[in-house]
Amino acid sequence: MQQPSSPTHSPLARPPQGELRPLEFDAVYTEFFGFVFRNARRLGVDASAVDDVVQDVFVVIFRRLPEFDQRGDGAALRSWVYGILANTVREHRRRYRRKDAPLVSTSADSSSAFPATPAQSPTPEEGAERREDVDLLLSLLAELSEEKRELLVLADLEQMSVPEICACVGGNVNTVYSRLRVARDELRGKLERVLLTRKREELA
Amino acid sequence: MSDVDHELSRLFDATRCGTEPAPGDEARIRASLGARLAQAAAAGAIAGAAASSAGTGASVAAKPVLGAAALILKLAGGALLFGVAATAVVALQHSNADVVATSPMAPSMRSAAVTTLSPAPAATISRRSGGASLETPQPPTIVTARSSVAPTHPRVEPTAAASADDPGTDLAGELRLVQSMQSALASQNDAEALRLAGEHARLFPRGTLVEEREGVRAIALCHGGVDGEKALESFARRFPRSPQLGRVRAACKP
Repeated sequence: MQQPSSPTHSPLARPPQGELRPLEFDAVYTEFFGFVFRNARRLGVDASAVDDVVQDVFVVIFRRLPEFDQRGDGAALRSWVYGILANTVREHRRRYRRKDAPLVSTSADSSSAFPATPAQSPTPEEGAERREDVDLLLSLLAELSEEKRELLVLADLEQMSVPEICACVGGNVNTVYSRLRVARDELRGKLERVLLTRKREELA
Repeated sequence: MSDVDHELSRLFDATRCGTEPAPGDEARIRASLGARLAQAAAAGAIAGAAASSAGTGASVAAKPVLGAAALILKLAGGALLFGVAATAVVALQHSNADVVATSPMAPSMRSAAVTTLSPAPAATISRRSGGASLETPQPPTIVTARSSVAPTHPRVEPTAAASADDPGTDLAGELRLVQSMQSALASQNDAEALRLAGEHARLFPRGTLVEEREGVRAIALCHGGVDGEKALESFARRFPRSPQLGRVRAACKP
């Protein structure tokens, strides 16, 4: 028999005051699949490994969902999911390092943890330029420290506000602003060098 | 805006779009995840047994429930719609939470808690044109019974309905046996765990929880120091990708 619908039927919607309803894993998966998938890539997981990492994240969510404090709002759930994602990506990187593979691939091997640079990645004609742009930015992000990469991903790709970033990575607003500025400067410097190299190659 | 800033902004825009999942990604990963969740749930059940009484709170008590959910998933026979089952898991955990929250047990007693899953859900499984799916109009009945400090393990026989067709599909019976093994292991009663593993092997030679049984058997053998190394080797050879391998190895480490 069909249950009467209620305005707060979505398991992710905040329940009415005084009511605490268990979160449903399926709803969390549907809501956060995109968030987890795209940010796994952005945090440095190679396209060939992203399926595994995304699955790992949702297995952890599945196990720990009953522990999640549901009194928070949707942003709290997103921060919680992000924390699991960031830990899973770190673990993925550690495992990858143990296999003595380079962090930034030096060939077009699709199993590498980080994308190859554009010149090394044979891409189909259609959409090649965009893929090269994506690969370039991801390879530059991969050269940054974990902390700086996370800040740039959350601020400039996920377009979170600084207070939202604070909820994800910890720290106060001023510290995050300051670190974000340093991270942007470093990324800008790296891109400047890449562009300079390209100009020299064109002139040569 | 300098050329570099402009280029950086362009790269961010491209990456924002270029890292979004493709249309088929969610469904593909969802399909693979179903199997992973079943495996994780089964591994959780074994972890509850292999862990000593150091486990705390709800997580220990919840593990048998996850094991039960793994069975629900496995019943679907491969192509899993984990959503329904996962929802069932949350519902099951929720139904069990009161017992855990209001009745703190000694760790050994927590480990000995036996959760049984009524075989009724098996009857609600149907196959549709798109593959196997689960229909759970009512949450499966969970009966949580706490055994005494020295638990007794009732002899488990396949239910008549299941054994008439194939004893290997009596999952509720298998679950009871595996949980009894885990309880025995948690109570450091390795001999009883081995006896129950033998009984499982006799009743369910091709059962769904053979991997779980062999994990318990290997751990029990290693605890006893008899054929431990051989048990580890045998388990690793037979189930090289088992999530229990690490725990078996830990138990068998000299």
